[in-house]
Amino acid sequence: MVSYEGYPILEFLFKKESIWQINLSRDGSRKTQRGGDRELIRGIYTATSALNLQELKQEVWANNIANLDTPGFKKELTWAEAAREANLFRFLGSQNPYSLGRMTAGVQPGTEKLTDFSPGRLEETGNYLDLAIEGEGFFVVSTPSGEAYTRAGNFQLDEEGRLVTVSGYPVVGEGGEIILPAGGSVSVDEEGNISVDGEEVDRLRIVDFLNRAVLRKSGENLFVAEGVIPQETTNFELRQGFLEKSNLDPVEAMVTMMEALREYEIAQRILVSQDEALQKAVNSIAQL
Amino acid sequence: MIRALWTAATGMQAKQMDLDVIANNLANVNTTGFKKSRVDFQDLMYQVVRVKGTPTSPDTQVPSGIEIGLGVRPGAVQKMFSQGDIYETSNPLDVVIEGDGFFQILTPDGTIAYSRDGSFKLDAQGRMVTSDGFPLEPPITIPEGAESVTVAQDGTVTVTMPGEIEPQEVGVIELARFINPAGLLSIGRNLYLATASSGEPQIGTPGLEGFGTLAQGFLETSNVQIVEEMVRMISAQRAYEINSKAITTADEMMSIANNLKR
Repeated sequence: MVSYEGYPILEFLFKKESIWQINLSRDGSRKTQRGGDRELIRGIYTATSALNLQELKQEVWANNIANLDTPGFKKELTWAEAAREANLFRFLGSQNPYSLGRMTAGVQPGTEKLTDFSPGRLEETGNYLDLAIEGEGFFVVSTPSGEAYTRAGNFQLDEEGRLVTVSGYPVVGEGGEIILPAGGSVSVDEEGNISVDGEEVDRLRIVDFLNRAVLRKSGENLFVAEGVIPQETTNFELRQGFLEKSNLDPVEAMVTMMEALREYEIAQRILVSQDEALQKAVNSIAQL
Repeated sequence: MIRALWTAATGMQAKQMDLDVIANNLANVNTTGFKKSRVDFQDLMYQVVRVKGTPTSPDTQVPSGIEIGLGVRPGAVQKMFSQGDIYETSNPLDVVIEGDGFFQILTPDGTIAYSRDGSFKLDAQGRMVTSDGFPLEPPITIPEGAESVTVAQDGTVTVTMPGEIEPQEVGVIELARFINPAGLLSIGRNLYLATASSGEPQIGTPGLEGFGTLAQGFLETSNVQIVEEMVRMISAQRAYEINSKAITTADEMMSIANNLKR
């Protein structure tokens, strides 16, 4: 019988059943499982996890860039997180098992907050129905599937004089839908009071969330908060004739894309080297 | 990766549309009464990769999940009805509306169109018509041989006939206005049509109930600001460029993936 002591790859090939891993779960419980078939190609799976992560990053940033000029758009971020660690043990015959150390299964997308709610740049438009929130909070919009929230203040009037979003959903004030009488000059003060020809009509509802991570984007510049009730806020100043654009910085976007591309390339190189090593193990060494 | 390609493609298409609108604004910079347009963008739907609130253990949940946006789309192209600049022409048939309101124009198919362009002419019957020969509604006919035409602030048109001292009233220009002028349909020739979203026109006398007043011998320029359009053009071009970089990056990553297997 050929001795393969000192050849780690061969040990992986022929003695894989002797390596066990103990997975440490988040709740502290331990699960023991045999290394099994993935032993040989563990490195390939690790590199693959990095490829997947960089692909996700590129997809998220492609969407950020596509929305560079979308009013009220908040960019999405990706976070990387080390995948769950495992303790490796080797069992050799009747000897006590000894630890090979800890090893992670690569990387996975993080579970932390992903939307960056930092303010976007304000752009002066001079249009009297363009409103921007400087500070905290969201406009409240009534949609067929319930209340939604938005930072995009490019409002319009519909045929009944209601203040609506670009998609036609009514904006909600303290007295419900906001209906503006025809003709008069509309002014909105810093606190959100809407007046037409000096006469107060309604006050915009501006709300905020203790934990903005509950907000989910539903398209059409809207956020929805399933089941979470927001609270009114006064921590803002409203600007009439301004629009909040996206909070994306094009330089950051370019750098992140370059980073994603190069990290993808590195992970690919690692995968190819793993493949080359395995090829040697399978085709060359085994010929001994 | 294919997702990133299509997402960036929506970004490029949106920027193309932005440039189309800017080009039309710039082409009409010297068009009387022209109102500039603006594209309003919206984000597209999101694909949920990991659902918020998914349990990770009996007591813990995923706090925010993973959603991948699928790009952008133009939500509306909105006309901006701010007042253009007013300049003097000294032509007695040039009339400008200072403030809210539209002239009513009778088109050949019998529908009423609305316009901010007050550069009227006379046709063979002496009617006040637009440059295309469409008459004002209600019609105003200037008698042959009239020495002078006066349009008052409230729209009353008077003429002085040779040998007469007292001016003679020949008609009143009425204005129309809409709850939502941005909902009007542009049909070219400086004309708009009422739609369901603009609401029914309200007809009134210039200077009353919030309607603008008329001024004779002046015209309204377009409300296009060249500097603003140039800045938007630069930003649209750069945004187009960076979207194309997102496509290139996705393409390079796919080519790297293709080289995994030699």
